[in-house]
Amino acid sequence: MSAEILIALSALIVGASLASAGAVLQSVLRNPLAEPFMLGIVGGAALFAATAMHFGLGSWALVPAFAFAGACFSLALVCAVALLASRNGRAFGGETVILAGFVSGSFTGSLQMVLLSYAKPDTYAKLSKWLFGDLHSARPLSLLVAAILGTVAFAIMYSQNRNLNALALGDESAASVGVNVKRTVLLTLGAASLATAASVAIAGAIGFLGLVVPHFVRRVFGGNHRAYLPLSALFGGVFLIGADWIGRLFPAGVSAGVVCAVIGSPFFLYLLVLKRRH
Amino acid sequence: MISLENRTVKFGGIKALDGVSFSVGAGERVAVVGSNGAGKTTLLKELAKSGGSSRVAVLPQDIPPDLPLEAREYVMLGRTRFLSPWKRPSQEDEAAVTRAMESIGALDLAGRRMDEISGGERQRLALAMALASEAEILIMDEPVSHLDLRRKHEFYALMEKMPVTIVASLHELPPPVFTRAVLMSEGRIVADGPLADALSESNLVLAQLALPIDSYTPVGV
Repeated sequence: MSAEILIALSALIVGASLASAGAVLQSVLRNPLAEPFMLGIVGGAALFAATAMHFGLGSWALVPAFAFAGACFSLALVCAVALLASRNGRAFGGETVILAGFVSGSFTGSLQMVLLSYAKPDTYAKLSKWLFGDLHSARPLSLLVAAILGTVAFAIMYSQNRNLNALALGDESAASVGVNVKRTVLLTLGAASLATAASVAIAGAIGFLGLVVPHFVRRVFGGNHRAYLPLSALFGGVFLIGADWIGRLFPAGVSAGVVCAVIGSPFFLYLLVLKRRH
Repeated sequence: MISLENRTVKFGGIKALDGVSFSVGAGERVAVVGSNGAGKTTLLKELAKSGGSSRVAVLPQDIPPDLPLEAREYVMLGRTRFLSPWKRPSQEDEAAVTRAMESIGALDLAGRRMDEISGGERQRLALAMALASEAEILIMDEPVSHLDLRRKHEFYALMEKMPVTIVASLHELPPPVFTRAVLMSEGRIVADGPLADALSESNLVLAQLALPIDSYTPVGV
């Protein structure tokens, strides 16, 4: 298989996984700023995956498994902190959960740097490039594994599309129209972690795509999860292919993760202003 | 139809409900009245949980102003228990949604987005959503607190036409559309009965909703 096709496939899988995870996180936490990277899920997954690679456990099966463990761990930690810090039962709608996620992401980021300082020169270059979101290092087998995990995660999220719609009613009201709120929340958050892990395993840490793409899709096509989830996945893949292409226009080549951050961070600030003014 | 038996609920040592027994019969429209922290919301939550064999719908307390759904999709949320994630809503679901929207006079809103319409219209659609769920009992926590005077009376007029049992908490004295008033104070029910009886001067004082007459100081004395 040619390198170009591998890169395009990586971008599709990673973009679709991150965008659908972002869409689900925004709906479940009822927070327009929620996104796998800002919530520290990407950072946790990357730290665990990098640790596996460092100790020579970098096989096609172990890296995604470690990434998933890291993603679940970080998400649970951030949610627990937000719950502890809240008094009125609205733990996830505000900025606290984002702040907790950001700090958790910085913490795992620092540990990644510690890990890098122990790396041998040849693995240092590879590992540091991967940590900043690189689509060019995936191998066919790890790509296949990520594609399967991403598809499973998406199927779980999509199976909850009616319940995700009803969550907008608030917990009590959603329960009264037939949603098992706890089950839906746990299933979809687990699936979002799995999708994040799948993308981290092949492309490292890519942020803000899970923020920008769902907002665009919701604005243009509406928020009914029956269409919102698949369209987010589709546009996520397209967006990342575009980001990779833009990155290659620069003389030394800039990774797709960096392009996403350059586009996404101002958008995050814009949403923050919009949210505070509501 | 729906009832609580000697229910106590504590939040961090404070009793939000203190041994409350309460039941609602079919067709009643019950107003739960009390000052802040009297236990109204907790009472409604407990009622919603103890639905028993009757189907209960809880009116959403606030509808996000930026909800990116069309009005018809929003009313369809009431049908969630009947819908499959893999299929379109059935004809029966579509018919129930149309009926519910018709009964609140909002068919013309069907294609409008929820983030484009007024607060009063959103509140009416919340009612339609609850009706579409085919609930027998509607539970509403302060349904009119965000509405202006005119919208409020329109909402009450709609409520009167609904063929369902209603339990609503209010921040004000209930209008005659309610058949029964329950006064709460510090987690207990202090008065319960037809409007005219329950809302007597002495009961209002008991529920800390009015000051005793002799505590008023005439102006200028």
